[in-house]
Order: sequence, then C-alpha cells, then structure tokens
Amino acid sequence: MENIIQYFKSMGERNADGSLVHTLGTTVQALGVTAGGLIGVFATLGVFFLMIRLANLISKKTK
Amino acid sequence: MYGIGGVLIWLAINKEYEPMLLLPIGFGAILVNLPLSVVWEHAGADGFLKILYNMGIATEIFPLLIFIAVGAMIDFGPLFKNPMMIFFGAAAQFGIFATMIIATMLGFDLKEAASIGIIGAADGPTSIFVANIFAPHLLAPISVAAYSYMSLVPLIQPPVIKALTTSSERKIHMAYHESNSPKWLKVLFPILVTMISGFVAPISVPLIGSLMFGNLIRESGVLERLSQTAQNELAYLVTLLLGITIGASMTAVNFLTWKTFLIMGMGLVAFIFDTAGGVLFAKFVNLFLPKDKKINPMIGACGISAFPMSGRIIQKMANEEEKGNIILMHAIGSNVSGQLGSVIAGGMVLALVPLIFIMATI
Repeated sequence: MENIIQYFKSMGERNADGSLVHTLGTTVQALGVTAGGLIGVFATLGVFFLMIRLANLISKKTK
Repeated sequence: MYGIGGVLIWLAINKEYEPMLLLPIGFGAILVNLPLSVVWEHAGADGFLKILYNMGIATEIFPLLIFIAVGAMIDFGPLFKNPMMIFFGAAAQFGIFATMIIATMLGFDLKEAASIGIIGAADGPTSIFVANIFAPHLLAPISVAAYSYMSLVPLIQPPVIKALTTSSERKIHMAYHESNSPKWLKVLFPILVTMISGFVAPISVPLIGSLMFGNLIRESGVLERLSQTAQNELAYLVTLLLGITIGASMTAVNFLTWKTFLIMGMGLVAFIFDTAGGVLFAKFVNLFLPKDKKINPMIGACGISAFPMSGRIIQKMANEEEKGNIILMHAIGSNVSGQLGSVIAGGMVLALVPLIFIMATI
C-alpha cells in the first residue's frame, strides 16, 4: 500500500534530465479510462432515464 | 489472404453470418491481394478501392451514414414503456473496458487497446469510427472481428448466460403493460439525447448525432419517404461500399500478423464480458427488488448493441426454459438501450483516452 501511495505522490516529479520519475503504466491508464468510462456511461444513461420518467409522468398527468 | 477471403464469403453464403458485410469484406480481401494490387494503387495512381477508402473510411463518412440508417430503424417505444432497461445498455458495455485492460496487459498501447476494446460495443460503425481515430493500422482486423462476432451472438451469448444463471432465474416472468408513449417524447428524445451527449462528451456528437438524426427522421412522422430511404437504400448502399472497402484494407502485410490473431481472440473475450456484465448487473439489481418485480437476468445480456438479434435470442431462451414466457418487449427495450450505450461508451473512450494520456505525462 505504501508503495502505491508513494507512486502516486511522486507522479509529476521529474529527474534532473527532465524525464518523469514515474509515468503511469498503460494498464493503470486503462483502469482510469475504465472507471471514467463506466461512470460516464451510467451517468449519461441515468440522465436519459430521468428524462423518460419525467416525460411519462407529465404524459400521465395531462391525460 | 485468398483463403481468409474465401472463408468470409463461405460464412456469408453458407452460414448466413452477416452476409451483407462478410461477403463484400471477403471479396475485397481477395481483390486487394491480387498481383500488383491494382484496385488499391497502381503506377502512382489510386485504385478505386483506395479512393473509396480515403473518401468513406478515412473521413469516417461511411460509419456515420450507417448510423443515420440505424437510427431510422430504431423504435425506442419499448424503452419508453420500461425505462429501467436503459441501465442494462450501460452494464453490457463492461466488455469494452475489460478487454481494453486485457489488451494493455498483452502489450498493446492505450490507443490500440481502446480500439480493440470497442469491439465489445457490438456495433460495427462505432468500432470503425474509434479504430480509425486511434489505431487505423488495426482497422481491418477490428472490423472483421466486430462483424464476425456480431453474427455469432446466437452462439456466444446462450452458454455465457446459462453459466451465470439458474434455471429458476431464467424462468422469471416479467409483466408488460401495453401503453403508448406520447409522440412529443419520441420527437424530443433524439434531440435531447444529442444535446446531453454533446455536453457530456462533445467528441461523441458525430456518432450520436447521426444516430439520433436518423431516429428524428423516423419519429417526426412527416418524413416517411426519407425514413424509408435511410432504412433501405442508404443502409444497403453504404453497407456495400463499407464492406468492400474494409476488405480492401486487408492486405497480407497488414492482416497476417500475430496482432490479428490476438485481436480476434480479444473480440470474443469482449462479447463474453459484455454478456456477463449485463447478466450480473441484472442479478445485482434483483437483490433490491421485491419478489414479484424481479427481472429475468437474461434481459441484462440484451444490453449489447446487436439489435434485434440479442433480444430475439433471449426471448427464444426464455421460451425454451418455460413455454409461454414472453419477455420480448423488455428484451428489445434493453437491446435498444445497448444501441445508445455503445455509442455513449464509444464517445467516452474517445474523450477519456487523450485525457488520460495527458494526465500520464504531466
């Protein structure tokens, strides 16, 4: 756990030659896209869900 | 490559697996691998297939035109009657992301992995659109994998569903209340979906905008002939050109690599994870529902974009499990949600990959 915390703490730190001390591994990057992507898809479709529910409610009330 | 082209044509004719695409792809693969490859380029001049490629694939016009046609074919009515189904369209995109992670572990870079993962969208045009932006060199195997596995959905989904559900779960009945959705909702829906998607992931607008434009033509009720043209002539013509052009990108040098075999394998993994994601999400939702409101978990598997094939398979499975168990409308509702979910997921991947790339180098 300590290693992971240190890893994230040192993100952005650079060596003397300007290169990054740590770059995010490709799999870690993919995990980031996964988390963001799944949240984004659920949230966007969730908004569509609320939109349909609201429309159905309005439709029932006006009948 | 002649053998691969021949197999694709055989699958199209003898097995009727996506014949509208696999036949042109197979023939295109044969054409481009003939001596001198005149159809692609010869004596410094572009051949007709290269012209089509530059015009329709490189510019992403073909997949977007297909989306207008698909949009004109979709009826969101079953979803409006049971909006809960929309979440299965999100859960069944799990395969995209799981496959992307696996692809990075196999040594692909993030953009290649994202393009491979998108096979799990079970949506040819989205796969082509994303692959063309992130990994155009992998476009041919990704397209072939996407369309091949879409045609194999009837073989892929049932064993995965059976492995994750009990017989009693597959026998769950779901009540369906017949009601008509208001017309204004059907008209407003494509407009609002486009606008919301545009704010959430602006890069997804070409994809979602084309799909919803086609749907608006259909639902407007005043453009019947345009709607029919989009569903028939436009769909057939662009599919024909898209297929042969994708086939033309299957040169032996590009296609016969170990990456192609890995991509084909991961395409299957993507479809399995999609199905599993949808089914397991339905089982999770069932934990919170009262006994008489439980969802048949097979519905979750319909959240993939293979429309209406997946919905029909699930209905067939429900009927085999217990005669007279009708869950078709729920399945179709979940299936059209998959159409939305796959496009939104494609947009998310397009937006997030460059963002993560920047973050990784800060």
